Amino acid sequence: MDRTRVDREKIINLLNSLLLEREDAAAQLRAASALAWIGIQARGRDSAVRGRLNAAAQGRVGETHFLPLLEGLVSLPLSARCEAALALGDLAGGVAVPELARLAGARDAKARLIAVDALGKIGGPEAVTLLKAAAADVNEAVRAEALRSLGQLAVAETDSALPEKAAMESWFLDVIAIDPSEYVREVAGDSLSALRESKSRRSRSSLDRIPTPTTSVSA
Amino acid sequence: MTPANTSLEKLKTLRRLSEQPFDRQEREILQRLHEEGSEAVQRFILEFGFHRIITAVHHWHTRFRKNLSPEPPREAVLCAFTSVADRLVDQDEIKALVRLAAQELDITPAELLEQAGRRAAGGLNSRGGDLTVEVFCLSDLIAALIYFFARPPGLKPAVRSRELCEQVEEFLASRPPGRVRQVLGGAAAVAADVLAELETGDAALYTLYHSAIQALEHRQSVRRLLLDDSEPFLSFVSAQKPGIYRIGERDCEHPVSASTIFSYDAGFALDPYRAFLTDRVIFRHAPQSSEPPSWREIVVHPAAGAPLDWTLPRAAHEWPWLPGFLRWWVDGESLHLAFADEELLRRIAARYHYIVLSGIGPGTFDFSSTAGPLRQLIAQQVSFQLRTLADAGATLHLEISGSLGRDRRIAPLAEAVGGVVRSLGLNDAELLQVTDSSDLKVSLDGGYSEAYRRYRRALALAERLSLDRLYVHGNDADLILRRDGSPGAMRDEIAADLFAKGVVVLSVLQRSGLPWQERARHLSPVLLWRGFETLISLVSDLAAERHPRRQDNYRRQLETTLDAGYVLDPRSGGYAVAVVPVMWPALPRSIHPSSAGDICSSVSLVYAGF
Repeated sequence: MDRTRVDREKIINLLNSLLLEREDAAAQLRAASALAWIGIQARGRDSAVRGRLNAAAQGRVGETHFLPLLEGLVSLPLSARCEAALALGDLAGGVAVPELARLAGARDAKARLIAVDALGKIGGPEAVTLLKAAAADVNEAVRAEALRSLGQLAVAETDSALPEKAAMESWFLDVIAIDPSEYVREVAGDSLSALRESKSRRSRSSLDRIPTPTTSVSA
Repeated sequence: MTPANTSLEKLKTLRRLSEQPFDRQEREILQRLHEEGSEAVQRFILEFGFHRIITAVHHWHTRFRKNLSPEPPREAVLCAFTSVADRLVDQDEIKALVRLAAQELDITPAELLEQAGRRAAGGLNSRGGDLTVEVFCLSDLIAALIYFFARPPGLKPAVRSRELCEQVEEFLASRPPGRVRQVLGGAAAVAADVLAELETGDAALYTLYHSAIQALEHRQSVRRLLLDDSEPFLSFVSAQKPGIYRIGERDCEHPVSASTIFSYDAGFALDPYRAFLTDRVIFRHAPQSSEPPSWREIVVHPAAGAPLDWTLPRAAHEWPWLPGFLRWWVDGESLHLAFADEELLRRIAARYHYIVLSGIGPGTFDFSSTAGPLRQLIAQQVSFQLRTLADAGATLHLEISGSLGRDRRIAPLAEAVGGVVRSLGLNDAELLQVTDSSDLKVSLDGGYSEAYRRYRRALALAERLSLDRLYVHGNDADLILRRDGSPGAMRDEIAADLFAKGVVVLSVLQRSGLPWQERARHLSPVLLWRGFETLISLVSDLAAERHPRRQDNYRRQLETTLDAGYVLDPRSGGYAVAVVPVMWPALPRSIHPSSAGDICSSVSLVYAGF
């Protein structure tokens, strides 16, 4: 991962100004947007930042830099929190999960959608638990996004023997069987297909690595 | 296994297309909006943040997916009047055409390009007429291409001389296999084909001529309407069956309606001329038979009154083409063209819920004294036909074609279609042309976005033509205006448009004559950043128009409209407007999107349940 390409100092300055601009909601949103913009740009450079089922993504500038912001985020207006959540998903790593968990419980469905989107980029066991809970949200867009995120985390998981990966398959099947929304069932189906396809791809590529048996011919 | 090319297969492919993860696309949308977005977009990001765009993108993508499997409507649809065989010429062949033309003219290619360049600069053809309307020789044709390189979008000039027709045919015949592909064209023919494939109730086609070449491109399930002057008056055959007419005991084939399409990429050059945009120019040919026809004169019969003898200067193999429902026959040395009478029109209207019309435009309704008796007769007869069909209960949709007449007035069109044609479709370039008339003033203050200006033009047109529905298809977003549009009606319009766009992408691939399923597999999911820019710009301006102080109500309307995609008009008789970001992947040049907007217009009309 090429972290040097992310402007570390700029991120830290923006984190600080987000907390300093407490009296000015517009300035807070601007700072959060500037931070989110860095995250959006970083997405193109480094696809490996996305987490996996059993391992959260690492923050791009050192997770401790985010801690003061994470403590203060809850007092910001919802729009600035959502914007910051967008940035956290791309930049912060596992340390952001508690704040995203709070946002995932917000009354506003759009805020929950953004939280789920960010959790899906971070991954790791805690995020997976939250995403599974979000898959039972009352809002179908939130449920669908949670399922899509879980599918992507499972596909990214390199340890194919991981029990969670196998469990995910049967969990997707359960969703397909019981979710009242056809759209959500379709997304669960897509995630399941992608997961199965990635498994068969991996098993094919591991077969490719088995050395060709040599035959010895007796003299 | 599901046979290829069935509607089921197409819908499955559409599903697969929408199922791809759209992370990369979401990133591109956000990056392009940030870096290239309009002032309205920048203001939106400042006021609401990027996350609001992300939720909107998710929302529209969800909506797209949820609308991919609608039940086919059961209403019967008749599509009339245009049908052609489109010959698609690869861009590399344009240089071959220049070489051939230079050879014909006995000059060097450089000299030819210099000559054509001068002609393009003046915008006039070799006879002093408008180069964008008609061409008479190879040098004109190349000048028209050069003209449109610099001034897109490419239009549809008519090929007006026998010699040029023959030269183009010789050129097409001389090309190596695969360099010229033939596909079905003409808004009516293609719309009927797509609607039949989607298994809507009774999709039929009416067209004056139906040659073997055109018939070959149709699917079995499209029915072609035949008109007769005795019982049963209306009869049907499969559109796969070529049209035949009789001279005495002899069966003769219908003439061929064709066009030649030169497509090119942005940057393609006929040095020193370079194409500014990826585009195409369509050269329209008059219908032609393989042998000179036996008739020498043309007699046009109105629904009532005295027939008109029509002598036209024409090439030996050319046939006339008129818009409208007509019967025709050859009797001795006369070709008779008879406009359908009221009784026949009422039978057509009784049979079809929707009648989708093309081949009619503002220029059709030229009642002026300078128009000449034939043009006046056509204007009067087509007006009569539209009014009779509407009176008899059919819902008329007109896919407009051509530009304003010589006097640049919209009044003749308004008189002919006002209160008769309920729904009208056109693209954004046509909207600009049609509303640039001397008698339709669209007052636009500065400071509004291009999207808002387009909306205001659309609104002015809908009001002037007294339409119930206006569909403006664009390359970035579609606008749909509905008089007294309710939330339910606007949601249905958006759902139908999203479905139509997806279907049309696949139809365009299918019509390309190439293995379309394979290509469809490699297309990206299909939400365009430009579509979101237009959506944001328009809803921002609409919110600012209604709430000029930009307070809480402004913010609320803007946020709501971004997801909903429509704004209602509370006034009785006012027009609600829907803005639908276009779902359109980047297609390879070899894929020919001509008629895509027309198809989309028809599919969305029928599926919206208008």
